Amino acid sequence: MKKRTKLCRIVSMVLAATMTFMLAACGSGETSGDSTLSSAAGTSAETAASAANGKSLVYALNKTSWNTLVPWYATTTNSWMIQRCLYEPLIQAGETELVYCAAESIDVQEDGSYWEVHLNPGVTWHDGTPSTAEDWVWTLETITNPEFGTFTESVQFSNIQGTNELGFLAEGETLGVELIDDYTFSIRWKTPISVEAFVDLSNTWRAAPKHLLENIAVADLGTDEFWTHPVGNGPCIFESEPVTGQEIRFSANKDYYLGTPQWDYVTYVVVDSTNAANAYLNGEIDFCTATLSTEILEELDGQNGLHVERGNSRTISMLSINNSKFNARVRYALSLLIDKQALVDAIAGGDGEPQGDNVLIYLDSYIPYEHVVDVETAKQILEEENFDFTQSIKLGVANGNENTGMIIQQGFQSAGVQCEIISGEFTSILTMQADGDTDCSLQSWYEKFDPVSQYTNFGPETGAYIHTTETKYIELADKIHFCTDEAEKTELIHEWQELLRTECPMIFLYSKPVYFVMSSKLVGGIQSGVMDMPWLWELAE
Amino acid sequence: MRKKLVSRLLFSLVIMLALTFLVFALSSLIKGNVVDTMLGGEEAGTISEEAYNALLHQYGLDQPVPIRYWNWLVDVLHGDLGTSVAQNRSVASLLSQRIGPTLLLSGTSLLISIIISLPLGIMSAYKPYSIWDNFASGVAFISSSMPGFMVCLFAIYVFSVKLGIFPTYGMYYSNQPQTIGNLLIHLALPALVSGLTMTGGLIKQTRSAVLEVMNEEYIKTARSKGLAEFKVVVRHGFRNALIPIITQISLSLPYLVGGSVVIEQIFSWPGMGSLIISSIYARDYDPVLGCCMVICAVVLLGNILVDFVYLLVDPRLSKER
Repeated sequence: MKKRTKLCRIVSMVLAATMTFMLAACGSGETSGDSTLSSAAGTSAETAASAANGKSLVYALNKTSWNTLVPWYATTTNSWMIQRCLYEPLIQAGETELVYCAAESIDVQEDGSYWEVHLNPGVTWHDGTPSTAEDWVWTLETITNPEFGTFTESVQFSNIQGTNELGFLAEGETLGVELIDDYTFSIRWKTPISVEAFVDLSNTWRAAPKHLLENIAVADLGTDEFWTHPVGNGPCIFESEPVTGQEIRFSANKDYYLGTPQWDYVTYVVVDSTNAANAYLNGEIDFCTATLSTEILEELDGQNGLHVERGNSRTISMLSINNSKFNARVRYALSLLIDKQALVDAIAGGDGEPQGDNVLIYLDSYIPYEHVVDVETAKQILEEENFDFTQSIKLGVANGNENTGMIIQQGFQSAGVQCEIISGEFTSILTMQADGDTDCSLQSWYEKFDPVSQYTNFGPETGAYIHTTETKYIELADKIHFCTDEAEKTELIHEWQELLRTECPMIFLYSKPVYFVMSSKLVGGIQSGVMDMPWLWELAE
Repeated sequence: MRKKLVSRLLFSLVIMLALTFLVFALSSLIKGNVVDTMLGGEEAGTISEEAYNALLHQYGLDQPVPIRYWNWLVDVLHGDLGTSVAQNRSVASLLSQRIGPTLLLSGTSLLISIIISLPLGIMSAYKPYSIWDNFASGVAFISSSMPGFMVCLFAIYVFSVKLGIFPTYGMYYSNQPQTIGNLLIHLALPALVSGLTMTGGLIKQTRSAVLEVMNEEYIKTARSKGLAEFKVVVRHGFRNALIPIITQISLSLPYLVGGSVVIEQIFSWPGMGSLIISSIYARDYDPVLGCCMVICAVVLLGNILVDFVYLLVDPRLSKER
């Protein structure tokens, strides 16, 4: 009897200890400076209390959390959004044009091999210290130092003169970055690059405050405590990260050089897209990046002060097709078989446009696209090209896009071209396309101001999904980027459109607008181009 | 006894080793790797093959699976669970942040499940084919047949959107202090849903075990001695039916620790489930292996603990051993 009582006592103690551990562990994600739970919770409580007093917004990111607060390690869109709050990029893509941020201007010299970057003197670190060229040069020298350690995004620095293929300083080389004066530095590139092309390749190009980090050993810099309460130079000042990777709070940078945000605090949280509508209705979020269906948008509009806004930017869907297997004429013939209007009607509810290329439809240089389905011409071309009608084209489709796949399949079958749909998780489908296990696969991306955005996808070395050996696409894209004469540029864009429409290195399908839901706190006017810039939003009175 | 414990622990280690190898081997069969997902995605195509291969080499992903597994195992034996390439952080630090919320959610779910199932199971066994029995069967049927994500969405719609009682996501309210009350109100709905999805099996098991015991001779003896009915049912009936019930509870341990992935994802609960999901999407397998090890360890330790509880509830087992 005594033995059993003792055993009971032990079991009870174990259970109690477990419960205590669990509750304590729930607070271990706190990273507001001090690592002890009590002090961290205190800081968090103070922030939370002050946030409750001021104008605050809750911004929901869809599904996945940010992976880091170290700017150079950010690898996902959500991570880049958080980094954008904290740090100023040199330049960024705006709605319809390039926007200069930390860089006031960039002198592109020697056909794009040498840049002189003139910084904006209004940019300051959150501790009040000016953000200078010295910070940029020190940052670039530090993160290209091999001692800094491996990180996937290091390749973004691999075009700087003196670096190896991974973006680290090669032995015996000198880094092609030089300090000119307090607000000017230069970059010497291995391969000429235009400012427009740089936007897509510079998500992790951020400066760090040299005065706060220079005494830390290079090897320890990426894991230093500094990144648990980072000091940036962007529009948002870090307050706390109450639940790591799940919730992060910022206050407004009142000295932000582009103007003070209208809110006092913004909290980024992660919400699953399946639950986003509920979170809106429950008044827990003010904005969410999740793409909601037309039915849900209609249901939310008008409820609890929620309103739906149409953004200017659009998403564009295309078919990446194996260029080494299908020549330009065959690809064109296949494109003639796809009923793009049916896709617009079925997938976008009629609210979209058939697309023949990736140029923004509201750019002056855009040539309207006349979509036709021409089975007879397609058949004729395929026969002339000795197309093997016994083969079955393998079409990779990410889960949830099966309807699109079926419409394309029906189109192919109308000319006797057999097509097999392979559906699966998105990454698997992309990898299968890159490995040549599928012949074509569905993709989509956001349209950008740059008429040849995502141009690296068309290159022989970097176009992993289209398997091309042609260099003409990427050469033309470069010409467009470097062209300074407006009339000539328009001609080149027309040439680009013609090339994409007739040779179809990728078969562009359709584009559709993006809709957003906003709480009553927000006034309209959010554009998808500035979706990740809530400091520009207008708040209701 | 000590010998038995040591042999169980050794056996557990072998199982854990086999499991990690299985996860490692299966993950290597999945298309794509972490470099693909980090540099790829929809807007991929921005690095040369040379840089791609160099990155694979840096992360050791160009080596054959057995060598990679061996390297990983050696690191684990040295106390290093590996590094998340996607997050550029040690797996140990990621797990230390995630394990607490998961254990809190699963522990609370188990408690809720037991609180609901045992009284219902006992009552339905005590009064078979009564209204209690029908009610318990109904609850068990709904619990077993409703998919977890459906219950989640239904519960959120009713309790959060319509009634406004509970929040829809997260562990704390944004812009509010992190108090225990704040935590508990966020915990309630996911724990309730997770607990409810487990009650079906437990109700049925309790009912059948208690029903079987209630026909035993010693129950009749207890009644003939004039013992109160409550004492007969609980002290003599339920107590003797505990072994299969405990077995059923132990069977739900793997689900509790590792299986609430969907619930964690929908409620944005920052536990191991959401870490597993995001790591699988990113093809970042070190955190997945780390989570598997933790889940395996908890389940194996749980089973050992259950063996001790068997001894506690049935002293005959102790004598037999």
